Amino acid sequence: MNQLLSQLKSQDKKMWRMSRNFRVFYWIMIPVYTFLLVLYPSDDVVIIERLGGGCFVLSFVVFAVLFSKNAREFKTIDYSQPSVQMLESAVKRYRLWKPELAWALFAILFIDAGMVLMRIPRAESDSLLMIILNVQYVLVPLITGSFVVGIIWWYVKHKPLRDHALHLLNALKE
Amino acid sequence: MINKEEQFKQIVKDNEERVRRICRYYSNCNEESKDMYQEILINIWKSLDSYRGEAAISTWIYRIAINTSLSMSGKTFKQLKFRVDMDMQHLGSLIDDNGAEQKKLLEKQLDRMQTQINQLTIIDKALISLLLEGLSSKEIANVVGLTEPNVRVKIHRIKESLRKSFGSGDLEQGQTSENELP
Repeated sequence: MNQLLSQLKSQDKKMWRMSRNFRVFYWIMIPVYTFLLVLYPSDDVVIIERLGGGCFVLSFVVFAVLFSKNAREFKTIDYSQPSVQMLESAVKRYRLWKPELAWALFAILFIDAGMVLMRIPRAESDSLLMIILNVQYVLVPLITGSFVVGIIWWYVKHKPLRDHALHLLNALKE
Repeated sequence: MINKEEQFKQIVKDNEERVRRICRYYSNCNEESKDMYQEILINIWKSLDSYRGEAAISTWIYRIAINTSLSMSGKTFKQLKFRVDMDMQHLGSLIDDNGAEQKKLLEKQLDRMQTQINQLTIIDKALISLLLEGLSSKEIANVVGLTEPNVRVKIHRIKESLRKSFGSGDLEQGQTSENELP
C-alpha cells in the first residue's frame, strides 16, 4: 500500500509539473513572440509584417488553449461517475471529429495568413496571388500530412477505445 | 482538515473487503485479482479530488470498481472469469430470496451457475456482481446510471437467461425476488 501510494503521489507530482511547465512555456512564449514579431521597435519591420506576426501569435494562443483543454480533459477522467455517463464521456473523448478541431483549423488559417503577410514586403517581383500560392505549396502538404498522421494515430489508438465504449454503452442501454 | 493521503487510506481501509470481493468476481487467480485491485485503488486515488460526498461512499466505490472493470480492454475482460464464493450470502437473490432449501440446492449447482454466468456479456456480469453484493435495483441504477425500471428489466432478463440455460425446473420454484418484475 505504501509503495502504491508513493507511486501515485509521484505520478500526481509529475502530472502537476508537466501541466505547470506547459502553462509557463506558453505564458512566456506568447509575450516574447508578441514582442519579437509585433512590437519590436525597428524601422526595417513594416506594418504588414507586424500584422503577420500578430497572426502567428494568435495561432499560438489558440493552440495553447486547445492543448491545455485537451490535457485537462484526459487528466480528469472520472471513474466515479455512473457507468453510462463515464462511457458517454469516453465515446465523446475518443471520437475523430471534435469541435476543437475547427478551432485548430482556424489557427492554421492564421499561420497561413501570417506566412503570406510576412512574405509580402520581401517578395519584390511576385504578385499577391503568387505569394499566396507559394505559401500553399509548403503549407498544404504539411497540413495534409499532419492530418493523415493524426487520422492513422486515431484509428490505431483511439478508435478501438471508442468502439469498445460504444459497444458497452449500447449493451447497457438496450 | 484531512489530507488526500489520509482520506485515501481511510477509504481503502473501510472498503478493502468490498473491493477485494468485486475483484474476486472477475478473477480466477490471485494475480489477476491483485492487478484489478491495484487498478481500482489507482482510480480511487484519481477520483478522490472529485468526491463531494453526494453519493454514499459504497456507491462511489462500486462505481469506480465497475467502471474500472468496464474500462479494461474487451479481450482482457472476456478472459476474466466470474467467480462466486461458496459462502456468498446473496447468491440466493439471483433466483430466490426465500427458502433455505432452495439456497442449498443452488449452492450444489454452484459450478454450473458459474459456468452459465461466465457466458453472460460484460454488462450482465457487472449487473450480476452488484446484485450478488446485495444492492437493490435502485442502488444498482445509481451505480450504472440507468433508470431503476431499466435495471429491473435487465436483471429479469439475465435471470430468465440463466434459468433457460439451466434448463431444469428445480430453480424455477417459488421465485419472488425483490428484483423480479411484478
